[in-house]
Amino acid sequence: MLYTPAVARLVEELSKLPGVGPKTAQRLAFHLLKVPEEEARSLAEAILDAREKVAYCRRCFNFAQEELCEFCRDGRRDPSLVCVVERPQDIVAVEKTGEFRGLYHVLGGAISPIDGIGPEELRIRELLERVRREGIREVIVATNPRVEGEATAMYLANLLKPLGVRTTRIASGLPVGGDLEYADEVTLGRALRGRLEI
Amino acid sequence: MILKRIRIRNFRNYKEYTASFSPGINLIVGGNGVGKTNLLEAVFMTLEGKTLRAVDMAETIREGEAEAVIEADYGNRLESSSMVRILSEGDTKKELVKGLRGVAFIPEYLELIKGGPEWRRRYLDETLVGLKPAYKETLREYARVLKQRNEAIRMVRKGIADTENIRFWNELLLRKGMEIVEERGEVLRRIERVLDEESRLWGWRSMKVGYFTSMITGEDSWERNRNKLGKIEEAEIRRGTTLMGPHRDEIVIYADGRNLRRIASQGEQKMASMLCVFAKGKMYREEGKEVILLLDDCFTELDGKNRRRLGEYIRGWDQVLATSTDEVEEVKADRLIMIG
Repeated sequence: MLYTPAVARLVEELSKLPGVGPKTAQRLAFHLLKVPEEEARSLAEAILDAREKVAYCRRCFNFAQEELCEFCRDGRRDPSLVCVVERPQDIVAVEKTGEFRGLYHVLGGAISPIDGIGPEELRIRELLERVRREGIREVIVATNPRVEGEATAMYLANLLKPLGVRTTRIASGLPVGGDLEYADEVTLGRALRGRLEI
Repeated sequence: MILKRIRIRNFRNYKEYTASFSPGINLIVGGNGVGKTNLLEAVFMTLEGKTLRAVDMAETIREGEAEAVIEADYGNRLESSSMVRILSEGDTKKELVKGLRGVAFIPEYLELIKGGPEWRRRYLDETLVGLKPAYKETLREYARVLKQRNEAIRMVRKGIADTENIRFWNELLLRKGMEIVEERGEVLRRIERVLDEESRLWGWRSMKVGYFTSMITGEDSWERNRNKLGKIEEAEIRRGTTLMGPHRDEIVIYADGRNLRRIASQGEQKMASMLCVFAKGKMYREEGKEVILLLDDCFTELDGKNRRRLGEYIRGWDQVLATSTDEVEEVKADRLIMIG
């Protein structure tokens, strides 16, 4: 046996985390055993605390500590504009741009039969309900630019357009501040196809 | 630019091996199993960044060793470049030596003519990726859409999902599928022209390529494809798979009016499959690249006349590395490299 049972259990639990392989798990476990006990306890408590207090926002399904998330509670944001994302962490990415002042809607993934995810598994009914009730003018679909994200975007567009709401999709383009010379062919090719009049 | 020297370590059957090459024709002669193909493969990997026979890079490392190293010196009178590939690190960048490409013929390419349509589709797609790297992403996306859609069809067939779940994928299937069909159609016209020109090599009068696809092209193709897809939905559910799209394309190669898959001798099929490889190289040359031809065991099954024709033809390329189990009297080699 490589580890004593308690250490083995810790390594095993840590290696279940995304992006953590057996080597990293071992490193983290030995680190946690070496640091002052309060530090390890504080981490354990933080995990439990977050799990206990954080639930989904009733309106947009972002993580929230109260009924509504911080964006849905913020009266300065424009409720007629909704950005649809796959996961809560995508909100963080959109927020960092500082370009968006509307509200969000988290689907909880994208349509993917091979993973057993159909529209029923996503919060699509809830989105349609919001559009009907909240006077939303525009829905920006910001699902990932993969085939699953595209299929989900098209599916949403088919449902949303009959409701008379403007439905848009984020563009794919080039990284800013770089040289065309160094752009990868796929991104540059797509950017050419999606070119805009100036 | 030509290959001047190669040094390989722990690659396939080689522990340590060095060879120097000349411009023009280099004939690599050695008995069965001494590693002639492996030498060509090492050169190919420095030019194209992948193995000759679709295997994992790691499998090319000599048994019991941690890494394989290939060092190649390329150059001409004006400039020279040296490159080292360490295969345990598996890098797959394209066009490793600027302005220089490698095209290879190996005997199993006989299947390009003799085998099922998947061989010709793969040839077409590889040629396209060579000319247009971004096409690879389109292929990857199409494969993913197909996988998702087929899974949806299976679920509907089993009665655990309704047909709507198939339809989400229709638009993407058509969009990516039509993109592929368009690209393939375009490159096929080019391949046909080049094949026809190069077929004089064997004294053939003409070569033609037929492209048969289940996708509708031309005017109103979008609407018409969508209707067609709607009509075959029931059949798709019954058969449990997607029945329309470029994954079902067939490509037929004709010489002097004959479908070579059906009416040709083994020798003629080999000659035609070699032409396909030459056509790929010719297109790289039309793009302003220099090309090194790597020909594995290309002289067997050819009669004396055709061996002579081939020997003269390959003289017109920048550099040729050809393997043979015996010396070939019809071919005037600029350098003879004996192995084993």
